[in-house]
Amino acid sequence: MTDDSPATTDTESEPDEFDVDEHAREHDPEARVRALQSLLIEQELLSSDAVDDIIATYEHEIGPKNGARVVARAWTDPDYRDRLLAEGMSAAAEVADVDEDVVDIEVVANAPDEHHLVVCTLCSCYPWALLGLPPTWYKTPEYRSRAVKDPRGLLREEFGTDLSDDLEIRVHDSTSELRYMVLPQQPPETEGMTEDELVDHVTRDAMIGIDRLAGGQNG
Amino acid sequence: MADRDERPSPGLAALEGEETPTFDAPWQARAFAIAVALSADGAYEWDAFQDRLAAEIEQADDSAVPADRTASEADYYRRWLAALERLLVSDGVLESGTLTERTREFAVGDRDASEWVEGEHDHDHGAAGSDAHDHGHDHSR
Repeated sequence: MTDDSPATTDTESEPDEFDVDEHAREHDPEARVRALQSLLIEQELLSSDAVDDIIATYEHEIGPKNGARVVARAWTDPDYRDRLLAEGMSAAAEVADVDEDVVDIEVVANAPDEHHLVVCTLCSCYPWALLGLPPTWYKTPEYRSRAVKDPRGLLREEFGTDLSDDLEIRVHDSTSELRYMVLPQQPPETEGMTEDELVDHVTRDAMIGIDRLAGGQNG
Repeated sequence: MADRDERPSPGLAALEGEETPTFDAPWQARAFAIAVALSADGAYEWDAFQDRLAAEIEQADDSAVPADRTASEADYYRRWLAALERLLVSDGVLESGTLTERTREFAVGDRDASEWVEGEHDHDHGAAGSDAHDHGHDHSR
């Protein structure tokens, strides 16, 4: 029997059409994530403690201190700085407990005439391994669009970072393969400090690029 | 960061929580962690999830700054969760009917988290008329 029309009997012929919007209207997110976790554990795609382990890691272990340690090392060790700018993740793994195999991170260095700013315009991906969870503003539509269209205005008006006009701003849009982190310049007043002391002078905001730490600002 | 105080309007930076953000609600943490765990274990490539997430965000992007931090976080993770559900169903990892049913069971309390906490099974669910239980009645004739 030939039949060139799509099957309309017994099972659904379409790939499983799932109306997420309706699902979301009907159920609260707590029940939805519980259901996911429960089914995935049943299918052995998830171990029962994997989720709690990851939450604990991101809440308590991974944070901007990883990135700060990397920056402090780069400020005190020129060879390390070169390696960091060439091979971000493997250099980061020398000083912080990070998994080199996850998404690559490219480190971009501020200079006297250049300032870097990190954004992810599509989905708010972030150098989690080095900076922990992203701040709320990083994920907003406004930050994601204005960082590209008007970075200077964004930095001045939203974050109080008024960069001088002769400073070139380079905006780095993260992709699924590559995340960015900024290596700020060392503030002159911290010259001569040890790596451990320097760590406390490196802020998350400077590693995203909404703050500059050293020079190049008006006023 | 002395110049922080001279910021003209509350704006974006007012959506800041602590220097080291944590999760606002348990479900947000859980949604985040499930996506990360599945990718780490090779259930899918991170890109595949990210594409879905980008699509969810684009679809719902109204460019308004959400009212406050809590609203903004909830909004973001709602998209995250929807992206995850869509990906798992379209990849055939989960079947939508099964997912819906399981979600309903958690919503009405037929199931709870104790099922995956070792040693804490109290099998108390289904008390309100669930037919899923075999109470061991001996229907001997």
